[in-house]
Amino acid sequence: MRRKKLIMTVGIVCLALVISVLPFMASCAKPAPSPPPAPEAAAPAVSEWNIPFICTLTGPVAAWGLDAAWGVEFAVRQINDAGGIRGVPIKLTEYDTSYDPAKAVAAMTRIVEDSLVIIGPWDEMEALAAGDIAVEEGVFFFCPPADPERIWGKFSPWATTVTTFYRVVYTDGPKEWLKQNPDIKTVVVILSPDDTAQLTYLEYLEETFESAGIELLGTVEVPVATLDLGPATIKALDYNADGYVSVIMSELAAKLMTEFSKRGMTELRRILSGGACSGPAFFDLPKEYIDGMYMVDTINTFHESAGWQALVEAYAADHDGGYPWFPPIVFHYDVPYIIKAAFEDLEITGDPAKLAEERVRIRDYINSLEDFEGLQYRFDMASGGIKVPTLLFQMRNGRPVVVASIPPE
Amino acid sequence: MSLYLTYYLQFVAVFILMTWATYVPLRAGIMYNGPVYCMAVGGYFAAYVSRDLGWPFGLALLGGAAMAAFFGFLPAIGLSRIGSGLPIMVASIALIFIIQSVIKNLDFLGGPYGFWDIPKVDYLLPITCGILLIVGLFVYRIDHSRLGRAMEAALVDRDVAATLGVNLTRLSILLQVISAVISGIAGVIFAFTLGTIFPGSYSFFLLLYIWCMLYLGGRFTMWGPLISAPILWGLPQWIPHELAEYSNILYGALLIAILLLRPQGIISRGLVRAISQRGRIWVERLFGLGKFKKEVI
Repeated sequence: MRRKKLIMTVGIVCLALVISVLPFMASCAKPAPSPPPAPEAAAPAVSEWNIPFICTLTGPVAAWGLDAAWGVEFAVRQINDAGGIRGVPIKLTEYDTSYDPAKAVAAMTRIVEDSLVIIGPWDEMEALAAGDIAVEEGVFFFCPPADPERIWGKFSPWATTVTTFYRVVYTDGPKEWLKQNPDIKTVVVILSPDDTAQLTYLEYLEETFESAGIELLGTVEVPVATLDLGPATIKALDYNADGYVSVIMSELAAKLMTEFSKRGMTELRRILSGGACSGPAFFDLPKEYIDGMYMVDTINTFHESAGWQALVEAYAADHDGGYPWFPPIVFHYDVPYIIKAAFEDLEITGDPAKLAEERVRIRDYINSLEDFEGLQYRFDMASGGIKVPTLLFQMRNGRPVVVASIPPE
Repeated sequence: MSLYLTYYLQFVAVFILMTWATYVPLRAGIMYNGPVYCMAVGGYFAAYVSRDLGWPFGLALLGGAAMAAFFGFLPAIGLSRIGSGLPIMVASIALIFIIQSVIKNLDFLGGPYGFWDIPKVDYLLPITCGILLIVGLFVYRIDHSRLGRAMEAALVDRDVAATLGVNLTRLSILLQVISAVISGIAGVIFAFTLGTIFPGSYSFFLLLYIWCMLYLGGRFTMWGPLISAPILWGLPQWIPHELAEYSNILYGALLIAILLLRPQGIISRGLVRAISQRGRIWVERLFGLGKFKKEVI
C-alpha cells in the first residue's frame, strides 16, 4: 500500500512537471539555420535586421519607458523609410520588463543567443541584473540613459550608455546655479530613494556642495509611488534652507512645485531641478508655479535643429498634439542610428555563421566611435565617455530657457 | 538546453516554492504574508556569505534557510496570537516594508544600490529541481500527516479544532516557520539565479503575484502551483509583442475568468482525487497488482 502510494506520488509529480514544461518546449523549437553564403560575399544574409529592445512599457515608470520606446521606433521608422540598413529593413521587437529585474533577465536570455546587438535594458537596475548574461554570451548592448560610470565600470567593453556622465551634470550645473545665486549657502535635496540613479545623483551633489562650501542641511525622501507631496514639502520647508535641489521625476516634481506654490514659495530661483522633471505634468503647470526656477540637463527640449523639429512634429502627430518632454527620447533616438553606422561601415551581413565575429566587430566599432552626429549634439565614445555641454535652464513664461552652457572639460 | 529555458525553469521553480510557502499556512486558514520577507532574508544572507565570506553554495543555502527560519520565528511569536485571517494578513504585510527599509540602510548589503556579483553556481538548474522535489515531498507529507489533519481541522473551524486538542498558537508558529524555511530556500535560489538582487525585488507586487499563482492554481492543494506558476510567469513573455503594453489587462482578465468559472482554482481537491484514483487503477492494471490482489483474496 505504501509502495503504491509512493509510486502514485512520484508519478503525479513527474506528470505535473512534464505538463508544465511541454507547452513551452514546443514553442522553443528553433528554425534550422540558413546555409552560410559564399565567403567573399558582403551582402546582407538576412531579409530583415532583427534588433531586440528591452524596455519598460508597463509598471511605475511606464510613462518614461513608452516615450523612450517611441524614440527608438521613430528612428527605426526613419531608417526604414530611407531604405533600411544596407537595403534591409530593421524589425524592432520590444520586450517589456515592467521595471522588474527578473523580467529583464528573462527577456535577455530569450534574445541573447541570436542577436547581433541589443537595445536595452532601459533602466540601470535592470541592466545591472541582466547585463552579465549579455557579456557572457558576447553581445553588445545599449543602456541609453544609465549612468556611464556604473555601466561602463561593470560591463565595458560590452555595453555603453548614450548619455554624458551624470557626475559632470550634477557638478557643473549646480555650481553654475550657485554662481548665479550667490546668496544660497544652505540647501536641501529632495529625491526618490527607490530610484538608484537618484541616490547616485545625491552622492554627486554632496561632493559638489562640499567643495563649494555649501551646507547640505538634509534630504527629503519621496518614494516613486507617492501620491501626496504635502508632508514632504512641509518637511523640506522646515529646514529653512536657502535653496532646494530636486532630482525627482516629472509627476512628482509637478506635485512638489504645486505644494511649494500653495505654501507661499515665490522666489523660485532658489529651486534647482534635475532634467528628470521634464514632462507633460510639469510643463502643464501654471507658469507662476515654475517661472524662475532652474533646471540642469544636457538635453534641450526646445532645440532648434531640423532633426529635433522633425521629431517634435512626428511626436505631435502620434500623440494627439503632445510634446516630447522626456529627455530619454533623445538618447534612445540616437541608438538605431549608431547601429546603422556600425552595420554599414563594417558591412555586417547578419550571417549566423559569422555571428560571433560580427558581434566583436560591432562592439569594437561602437567603443571607438568618434564625432558621431546625434540628434542634439555630436559626441564620441572613443575618449572614454560622452562629453557634451551641461545646460542650465531657467523657466521663463512656463518654458525652459538656456541661461548657461558649461562646456565639458 | 537553451539559456531561456534554463532561466525560465529557474524562475518557475522559485515561484512554485514561494507559492508553497504561502500555501502551507493557508491550509490552516492562516493568511500569512511573510514569505516575501523571508525570501529577502534568505537571499541576502546567502548572497553575502557566498560573495564576501566565500561560503560554498550548499552551506549558503542551509544558512539562508536557517536565517529565514529564525527571522520567520521572531514575528511568528506575536503574529500567532492575533488570529488567522485579516489581522495576521495585514500585520505580516508590514514585514515586507520593514525588511526593505532595513536592507536599504545596510551598506554591507549594498543598500539601495543592490547586491551584485553573486557567484555563479554550476548546474544550478538540476540542483534547483532536486530541491523542488524534496520540498514538494515534504509539503506532501505534511498534507497527509497528523499535522495536515490538524491544519484541516483549524481551517474548517478553529474553535472545534481547539476543543479537539489542537494547540492553535503552536500550530500557527510551526506553520509560519515552515513557510519561512521554504521562502528562504526560494530566496537563495532567486539570488543565485539573478546574480544581482535589489531591495525593490522583494516588494508588495511580488506578494500579489504569488497570491495570484496560488488562487489560480488552486489554494486547497499543493499541485496547483505546478500549473499556475509556469503559466503566469510565462504569459507576459509569450503574448505577441504588439500586445505587450496590455499584458497586465490580459493577466487580470485571465485571473478574473478563472476565479469566476472555477473559484477553487485549476487544480481542485476533487480533481486531484479523481486523477489519483484513475492513476491508481492504471498502475494496478499495468503491474497486474489488482489481479494479484484478487488472487490473494
